[in-house]
Amino acid sequence: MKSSGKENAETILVEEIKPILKEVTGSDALILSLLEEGVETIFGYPGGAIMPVYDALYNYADRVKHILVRHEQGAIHAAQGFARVTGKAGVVFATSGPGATNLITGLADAMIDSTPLVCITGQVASHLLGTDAFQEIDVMNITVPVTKWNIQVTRAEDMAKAVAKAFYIATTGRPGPVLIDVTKDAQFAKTKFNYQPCKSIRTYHPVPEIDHSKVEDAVVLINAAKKPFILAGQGIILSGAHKELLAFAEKGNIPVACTLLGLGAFPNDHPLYVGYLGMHGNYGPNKNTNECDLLIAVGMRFDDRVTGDVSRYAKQAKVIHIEIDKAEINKIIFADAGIHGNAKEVLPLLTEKISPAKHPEWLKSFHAFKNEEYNKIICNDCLNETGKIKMAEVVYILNELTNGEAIVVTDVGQHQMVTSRYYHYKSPRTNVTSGGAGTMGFALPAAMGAKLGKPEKQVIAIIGDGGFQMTLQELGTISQYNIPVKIVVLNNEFLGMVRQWQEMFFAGRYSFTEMNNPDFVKINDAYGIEAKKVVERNELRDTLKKMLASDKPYFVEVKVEKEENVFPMVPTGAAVSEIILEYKK
Amino acid sequence: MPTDFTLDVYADNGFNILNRMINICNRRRVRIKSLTAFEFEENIYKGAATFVLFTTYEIAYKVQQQIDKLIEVEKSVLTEGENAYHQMGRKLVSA
Repeated sequence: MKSSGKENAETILVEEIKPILKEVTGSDALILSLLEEGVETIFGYPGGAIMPVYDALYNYADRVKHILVRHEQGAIHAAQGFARVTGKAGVVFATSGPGATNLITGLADAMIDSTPLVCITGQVASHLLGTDAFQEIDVMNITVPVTKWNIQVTRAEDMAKAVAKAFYIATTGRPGPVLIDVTKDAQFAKTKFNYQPCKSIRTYHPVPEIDHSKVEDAVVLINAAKKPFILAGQGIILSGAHKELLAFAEKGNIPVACTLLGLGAFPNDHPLYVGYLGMHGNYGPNKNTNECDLLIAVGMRFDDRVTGDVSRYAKQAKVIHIEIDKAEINKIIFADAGIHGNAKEVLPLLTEKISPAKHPEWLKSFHAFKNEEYNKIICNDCLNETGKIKMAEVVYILNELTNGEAIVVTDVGQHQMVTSRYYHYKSPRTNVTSGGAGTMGFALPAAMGAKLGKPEKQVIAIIGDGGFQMTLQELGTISQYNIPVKIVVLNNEFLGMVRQWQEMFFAGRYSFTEMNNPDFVKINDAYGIEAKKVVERNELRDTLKKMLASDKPYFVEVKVEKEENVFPMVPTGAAVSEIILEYKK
Repeated sequence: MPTDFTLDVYADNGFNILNRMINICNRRRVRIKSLTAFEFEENIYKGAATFVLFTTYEIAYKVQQQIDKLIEVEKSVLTEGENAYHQMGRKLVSA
């Protein structure tokens, strides 16, 4: 007899409910919990202590994609890239012992850069804990300083709750990495699976109650200011407050500068955008930090690369600090009005209450600095016709060819600073870089994760020759899964930033910074990735065009000037206003 | 000037919550003069720790802010003085 439509629907419903009602293993409970959280991509590497989880994963291969990386560090950086462009938690699997310890750099990076991750590590069976069993490492204690939260699951029945709590903690408040360590017996044991998403934790309050008296204080300061200045950090991007920031800045006609991780929080082509802050940031914003009468810091933490010498940082100014992490307020810079809250909620309160204003002279002062920087630095960096290719030229052309709309992932060092200066990010979640930790080796795997998170976007990794060689094994992953990331290595055969410091601050003693590199094109050939090397300037634009037009992974090595320095620069220990445009030997 | 501060922390009990608190002190090289930790008899899922720290007020306050941020921490109270068990002789400076 043919079934009616209704019967079919009921049959499907029962089939859906069945696995919930039946007993499953802890490993199944883990995978089912991840599915409940909407996880579609996992970056991982199997090993002995996580084999039951991988065995369970085999049953769900049609519902969740697992990317087999070549090293656990690659997995966690890929998950970071994925999280940074999507806003969702990146998910990582690793085994116990060295598998887990290989995650540490990525955890530290995600912790300082507020990236939501849920990392799951296998662990020896619970009766072997503390016995120095094979591949038993105390990952719980090792990861304490580099996780927002961690938990060890030793019973299958605790699995679903642990996963639910992990996702809630990773993605709310100031996001961060969490780790779930699962003993092997908990992976094998049976439990009834019943998933309940976590909606609150008694002792954890990720949505701060805004103190309206502080908002009033801030309004008074803003309305009284003649030279107000907004410092926009990653908090804008994390809270999705870019529109609120735009409305606030436009009403008050307040110039906006972004931190390294805040790039993309404010449109680069907006007349109120005055540049990028930091050691190699733009001239005007650094100079004028010590000229403004009001600093409005939103979703940023006054990193030392932004402040320079703290004792001489914006001493003349009142400070408003809007921050979701209360511990950041008054941590480095005293705030006259410290507003503990989410930027997305706080900014509209301010916009509503501030008076419209114009600050023509103040805005003009940024333009004067901009012109000076353009004539002394930008022209020479980007618009050359002779001599060796400079890093900035490559970024300048990439920016032009992509109209500032690609996701650009950078590693750490000179190329990172150059990209931050010359790639004009227009939208949030298009700048992916390792900020606080400064992790070399970040970019290649992070770009891979970013492309998987946003397959419709052009994703370009810009990397130095040093950082590329720290995680180049992930070319294998890119090749295996045909992930069409575009990789640009700016090869100066030096650890460029360290060399620049050696030149400027260590009497030119180039102690172990010159690199004898392999043939990068041949390496890519071996992985089956199309690769080109550019030595001459006249080949550069066309090669980059060809790279961008490809629908496959594509590698371009550009041989750049060996001993190029990045300017402007706030020398170490100097005040931000002592930023220099050139270095005189 | 460094002096003694007592930091009382009330938290949900967990295997590494104490470790997290100690790490925050250690990272800032804050000297822990004494530490008492216990779980409540009536509810073993909750506990408390009392740190006597020798540091400046500024650092003690920043340590408190970091500890407050821990997921399991419900409340902390920072007082000047070193009497770990009694409020006598302590002046409330931040709660």
